Amino acid sequence: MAAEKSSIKIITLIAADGSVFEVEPNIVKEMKTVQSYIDELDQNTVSIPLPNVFGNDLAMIIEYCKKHASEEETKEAKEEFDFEFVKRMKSDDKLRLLQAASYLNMESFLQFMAKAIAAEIENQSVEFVRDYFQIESDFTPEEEAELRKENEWAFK
Amino acid sequence: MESLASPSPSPSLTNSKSVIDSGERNWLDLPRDVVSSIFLKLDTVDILVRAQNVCTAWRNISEDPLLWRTINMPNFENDLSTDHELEILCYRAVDYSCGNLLDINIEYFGTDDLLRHIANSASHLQRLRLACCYSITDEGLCGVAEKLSHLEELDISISGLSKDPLEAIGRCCPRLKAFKFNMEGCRRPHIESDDEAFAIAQNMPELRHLQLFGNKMTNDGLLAILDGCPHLESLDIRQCFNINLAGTLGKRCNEQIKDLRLPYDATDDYPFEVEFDYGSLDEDYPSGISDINLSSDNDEYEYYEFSGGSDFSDYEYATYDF
Repeated sequence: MAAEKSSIKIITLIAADGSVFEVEPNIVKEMKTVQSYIDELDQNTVSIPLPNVFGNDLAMIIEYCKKHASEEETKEAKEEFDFEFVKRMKSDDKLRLLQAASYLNMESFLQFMAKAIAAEIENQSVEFVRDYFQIESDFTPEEEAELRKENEWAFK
Repeated sequence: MESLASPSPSPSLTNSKSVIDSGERNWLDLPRDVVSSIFLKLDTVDILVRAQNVCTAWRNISEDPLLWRTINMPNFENDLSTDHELEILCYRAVDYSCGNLLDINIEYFGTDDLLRHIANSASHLQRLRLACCYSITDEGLCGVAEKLSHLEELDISISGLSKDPLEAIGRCCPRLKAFKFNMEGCRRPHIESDDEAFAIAQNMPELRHLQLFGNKMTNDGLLAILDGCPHLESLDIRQCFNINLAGTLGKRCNEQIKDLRLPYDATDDYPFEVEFDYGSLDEDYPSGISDINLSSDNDEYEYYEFSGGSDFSDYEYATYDF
C-alpha cells in the first residue's frame, strides 16, 4: 500500500508565509490532505506547500500532532496538554486553527477545535456570537426586530 | 512547485488565493460542515436561540435535519426561559429533525403532548430521557409506547409514573437494553411495593442495564428481576431499603450481575437529590414508621423533595460486603 512506503523519512511542509517545517511521516498521518499528496508521489523526500496555513498555526498543529502521536504520553498527559493548548489561544487563533484543520482534513483536530469554540460561545448572547465570528446580521430590520422579540433572553 | 489542491469539497478552501492574503477573515467563509461541527457541540437551546439568529447563512445551516439526530435539553439553572418556552423550542427541534431523531433528553418541561409529537415524528428513536418530567402521565407514555418500537434506552427517573407504562413499554420495545426508573431515596414513609419490579421482570427480558434507585421493592421483586432479566450486566439498587441482601439473594446478585450497586452504596454520582434519615441508619430495619399517619389516597411522591437536579450529595454510605 502506498501509505506504507518506508522510503520516506522526512516530510517538508511549507506554510503560506514560507516558513518550513520538517516532520516525520507519522506526524502528518492525521492530515489527510497532506497524506493523499504523499501517497501519490513515489520519491524519498517530499516537500509540500500549504498556501492556506500560516507558519504560526502550522507550528501549533504540528505540536498538537506530535503530542497525540506519541505512544509514551499517558492519556492524562494528553488531556492536560489539550487543556493548556486551548487556554493559550485567542478567539481568532481558534477560528484560524479550525479553518486550517478543515483545509488539512484533520478530523479529530477539527472536532477538538470545534469543541473549544463551542465552549466559548455557549450561553452567550447572539451579539457576542456575531462579534466572535465577525459576522454582521443580514436579516432585514423587521426580521431582526422579530427575532429579538421572540428570543429576548438570547440577546441579553 | 504546484500548489496543493485540497480534496475538501469546500470551494473557499480549494481556492488557493486564500483569505490569508487579505489579512482579514470573514468567518462566514467557514465551510458549511465546519460550522455544523461547531453547532453539534452546542446544546439544543444554544443552536435554537443563539446560533440560528446570527445570520441567514447560519439559520440555513441550522435547519439541516442531520444536525438534529440528538436533542439535548437539560435543565437550565437561572436561565431566563420558562418551561413553556422550552417546550416550544423542543417542538421546533423535533420538526427540524424530519424523522432523523435518535436521541432526546428532556428535563422538567416534558408534557404528554410533546411526547406524542416526538413519538409521531421520530420513528427510529433509540434513546429517550424524560427526567423530572412530572407532567408526563401513565396514559401519555402508554399511548406512545407502540410508536417507540426502536427504543434501546429509556430513562424516566423522578416521575409520578406507575407500573402501567412500564408494562406497555416492555411489550412494545423489544430492543430495550437499558432502563432507568429512579426515585429519590427515602426511608419514610415505609412502603413496600413490588409492582414495578414485577412489571420489569415480566416485560423487559432483554435488559442489560437497570437502575432503580430508591425503589420500594422487596426481595421478591428483586428475585423476579433476576429471573426475568437473565442478561442483566449492571444493576443499581441503591437506596432500595426494603431489600435485605444478607442471605442467598445477595450471593445470587453477586454471581449474576457484573456491575452491582447495593442499597447502602455511596450516592456521590447520583444526579438527583438523595434524602437521608440519619436517625434510622443504625436500625436493621426501618420498622415502626409505617404507622405514620398516611391517608390511603395520599401520593407518596409528595414526601420527596426535589432539588432541581443537583449532581452532588453530601451523604456517603458504608459499603456492605457479602
